[in-house]
Amino acid sequence: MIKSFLLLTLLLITMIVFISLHDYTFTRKRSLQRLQALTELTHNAQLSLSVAYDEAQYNPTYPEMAHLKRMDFIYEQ
Amino acid sequence: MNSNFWNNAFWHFLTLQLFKERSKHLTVAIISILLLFLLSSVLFISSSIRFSLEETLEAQPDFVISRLQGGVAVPTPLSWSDELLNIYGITKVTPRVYGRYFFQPKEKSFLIVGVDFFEEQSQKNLEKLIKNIDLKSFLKDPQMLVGKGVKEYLAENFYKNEYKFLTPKGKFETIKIFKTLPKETQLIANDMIIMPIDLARNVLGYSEDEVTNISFNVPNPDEWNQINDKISALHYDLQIINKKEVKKSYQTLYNYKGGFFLILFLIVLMTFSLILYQRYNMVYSSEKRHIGLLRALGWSINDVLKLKFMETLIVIISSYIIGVFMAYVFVFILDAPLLKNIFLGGQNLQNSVEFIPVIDMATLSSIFLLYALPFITAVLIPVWRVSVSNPKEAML
Repeated sequence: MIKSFLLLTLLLITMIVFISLHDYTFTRKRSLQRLQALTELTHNAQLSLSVAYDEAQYNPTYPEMAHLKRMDFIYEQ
Repeated sequence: MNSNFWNNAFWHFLTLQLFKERSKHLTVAIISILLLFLLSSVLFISSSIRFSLEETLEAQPDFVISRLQGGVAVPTPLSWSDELLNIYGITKVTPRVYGRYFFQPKEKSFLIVGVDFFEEQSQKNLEKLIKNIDLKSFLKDPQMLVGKGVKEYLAENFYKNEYKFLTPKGKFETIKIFKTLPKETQLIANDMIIMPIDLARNVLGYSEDEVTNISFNVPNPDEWNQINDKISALHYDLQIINKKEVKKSYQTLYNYKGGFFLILFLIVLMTFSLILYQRYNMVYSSEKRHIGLLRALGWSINDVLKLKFMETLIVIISSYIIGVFMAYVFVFILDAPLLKNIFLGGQNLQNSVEFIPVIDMATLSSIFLLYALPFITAVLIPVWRVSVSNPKEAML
């Protein structure tokens, strides 16, 4: 086996180790606790989508359909 | 594995040839890395958002009722919450006041949420959210807590410490910015403004006996259907939504977006495999001569196939690891600039979400198989066709 191949293998192993270490050491608990505290405080967990004012984030009446207002807008067009 | 395996002549020859012909493999590897990087990034973002939402949904109320008129939500009477309290099995009945406030000069909008800070539970949750917050000084004047996106946006528009809200009655309500919400909550709080519930009523134009909707919990899941029927019978214009429906709507949204990219990836991968197949099918004369030479030297068809298989496998594994690594760094360390707009939008306030690392091994393995199998097939079939031919003909 030549040196260049060994170097490539080492580089790939380093990448895997980096991903594993970052994933393992990330403080998920703190992030999730804060998200849950905010949800419990506001009783609301709407995703903060950066959408236009007239575009609803999801349709609460029929969750799998586009929002009624949005559909009206399409029909008007 | 023993040391002989790594030091044997086959491996030496294989690695030597791999690096000798690196320019040939490099083009294929770069295209593969780019494809894998894009697809893995999209799937990382999608699974991270889904994970965060599922975790927050755990803390969400089980049911929400609101009043509908002509299919459109209208203010819900506050008296409905007393009716709910009389039903056995229902707990935590909470009237909610929230709505979007349009910032006219720049056509942006914020989500205003009213909270009853005199409730003990709300105070505890606020302390959990913002450590060492002084509630007394917060409630002393009309003040609000704002998401990072709102804070930055207002500061850009010269509202550094306070903002004058125009109420539907035509009056101005000046509210001071008390604190910014923690950056970990950006996913749901970027455009959020939290203020005392009475203040929110003023800004959004609700009267004292009106709320946006009412949430409540039903701790026993076996009673969900029964309670649902009981509540639906209370009023004809009442709409009831449970947590499962909201969860389903988010999953549909992100499965759709992730799936869309997966289909695009499959199309591109098919095209890429066809190009590879074409390329190896018209095996260059030097390649053909090389295979013929190996066969003439006594290599069996199996040996030639093994050599080409291992060579391809190394290219595939290397491209895969590099592509996934780049995607990981891009999404979970650099927070996916540009690409996150596909999921979070970019028409309103800029959102700089910190994505929680979530590695879905099932999806990653599927990507690997989807990528590796057509690649190996596209290379090995033409090589096998040359190997089975007469070495003399191959070397011509």
